[in-house]
Amino acid sequence: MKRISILFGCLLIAVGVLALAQDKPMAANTDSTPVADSTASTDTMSKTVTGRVISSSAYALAVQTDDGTRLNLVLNSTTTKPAILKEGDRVTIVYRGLDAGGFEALTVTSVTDSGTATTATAAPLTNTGAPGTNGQTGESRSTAVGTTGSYYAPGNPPQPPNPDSTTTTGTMAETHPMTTTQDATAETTTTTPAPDTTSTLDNTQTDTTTTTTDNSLPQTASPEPAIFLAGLCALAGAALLYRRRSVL
Amino acid sequence: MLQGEAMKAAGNGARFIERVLFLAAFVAFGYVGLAALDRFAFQRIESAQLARFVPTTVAPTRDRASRGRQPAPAAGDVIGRLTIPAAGIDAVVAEGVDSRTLRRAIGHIPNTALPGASGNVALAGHRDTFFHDLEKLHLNDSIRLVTPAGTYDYAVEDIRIVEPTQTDVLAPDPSPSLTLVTCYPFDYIGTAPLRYIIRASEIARSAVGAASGAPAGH
Repeated sequence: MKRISILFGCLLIAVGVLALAQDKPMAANTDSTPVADSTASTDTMSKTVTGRVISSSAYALAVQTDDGTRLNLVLNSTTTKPAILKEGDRVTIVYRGLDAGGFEALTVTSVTDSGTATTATAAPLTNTGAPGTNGQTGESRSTAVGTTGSYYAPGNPPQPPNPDSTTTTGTMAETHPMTTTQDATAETTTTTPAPDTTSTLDNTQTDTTTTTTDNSLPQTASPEPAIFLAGLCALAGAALLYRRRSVL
Repeated sequence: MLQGEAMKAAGNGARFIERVLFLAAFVAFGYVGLAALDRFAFQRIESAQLARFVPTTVAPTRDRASRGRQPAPAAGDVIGRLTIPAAGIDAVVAEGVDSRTLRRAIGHIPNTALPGASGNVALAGHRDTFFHDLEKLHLNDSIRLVTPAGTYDYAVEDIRIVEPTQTDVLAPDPSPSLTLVTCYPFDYIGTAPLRYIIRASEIARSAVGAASGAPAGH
C-alpha cells in the first residue's frame, strides 16, 4: 500500500509538472504581441578574447584561446571579419553569449604575432558575395560548431535599420557605429596587445546595451505533440499496471 | 488474514492508478483529436467563406501608390489564404497570434502591415501543424497570399534563424515584404529556443480595387 501511495504521489507530481510546462507556452502565446518598431532585447555583454583559429567557415569559427580553451562561435551577417581566415591565424574576437546558448562573434580582428592587430578587409558576411563562400551554399545552414544562434543565408541583403527602434543587442552589430566604420575604411591599424585593441568596441557596445523590453517573437510551438506524448506515456503506464495485475 | 487484506488493498490501489492513467490517456488523445478536428473544420469553413470574397478575375497592377490603408481586422478574423507550393502549405490566415488562432490557422502578427499595404506583412504558424514543412523552402521559392483585396506573389529572399528576442525581423520595410515566423528546431517538443524566419519580397500583385480591403469575418 505504501508503495502504491508513493507511486501515486509521483504520478501526481508528474502530472503537475506537465500541466505547468504546458501552461507556460499557452500564457506566452497570448502575451506575445510584438510591436514592429520596438527592437530592444536583453542580452549579455560583449567579451573580448584572443586566440588562434582552429577552423573557419562562412557560419562558424573555432578558436583556441590564449588560456587554452576552445571557443566555438557563430558568425552571422553582422559579424565583421577579415575576408580570409586561415587555420592558425591569430585573432582577437569580440563576442557575446546567445540566450539560447552558444556564442556569436561580433567582430573578428587579425592580430600578427608581433603584437600588431590588423583589421583586415573587414566586411560583413552579407557583403562577401555570392553563396558558396568557403564551399557552403545558401541552403546549408548547419549548426556546424554545435552551438545555436543567428544564421544568415549567404547573399542576403542586410535588413534596413528601423528608424523608430530603440537599441537592441540582437541587431547591435548592424547599427554599431564602429562596425560600419570598419566596413568603410577597411584599413590596417596598429594597436597594443590584444585585450586593449578592442576596448573601444567594448565600451561602445556596453553603452548601447542598456534598453530592454519584454517583446519577443510569437511562440509558435503547439502543445499538441507534448500532450500526445503524455497520453502515450499514460497509456503505456496503464497497460503495464494492467498486465502486472493480471499476472498477480 | 492481514496479509490477504494488504494484498487486496494494493490491488485496489493499482486498479485505481490504472484507471487514472487510462483516463489521462483518453483525455490527452481526445484533446489532440479534437484540436485536429477543430483545425480541419475551421480551414474548410473559412476557405469556403474566403472563396466567396475572392473574385475570380482580377486586374493586374504593380502600382505601389494605390496601396491604401486597410481597416484593422479584429482578432480571429480571416485575412486571406497562404499558398506555398514548394512546402505544400495551403492554409487560411487569421488575425492574431493567440493560442486559439494559431491552433486553427496561420496567424497575422498584430501591428505589422496587412497584405496590400506597404510594409512588412508578418505571419506566424505552428511548426508542427501549418508550418511543418517550412524548412523545405529555399531562396527564390514563390509564396502566394490571396486576400479579398487581391493576390500577392512573393519570392523568398532570406532565410535565417534568430532568437525570440530579435523582433527586428518584423521591422517595417519600405518595400512590400512578407515575413514568416515559426519555431526552430522543427523536431523540438515543447517551447523551442529559436525562431525560423523566412523573408520574401513582393514580386507581383493582382489588386481588385481600393475598396475591397475588409477582411472576411467569421
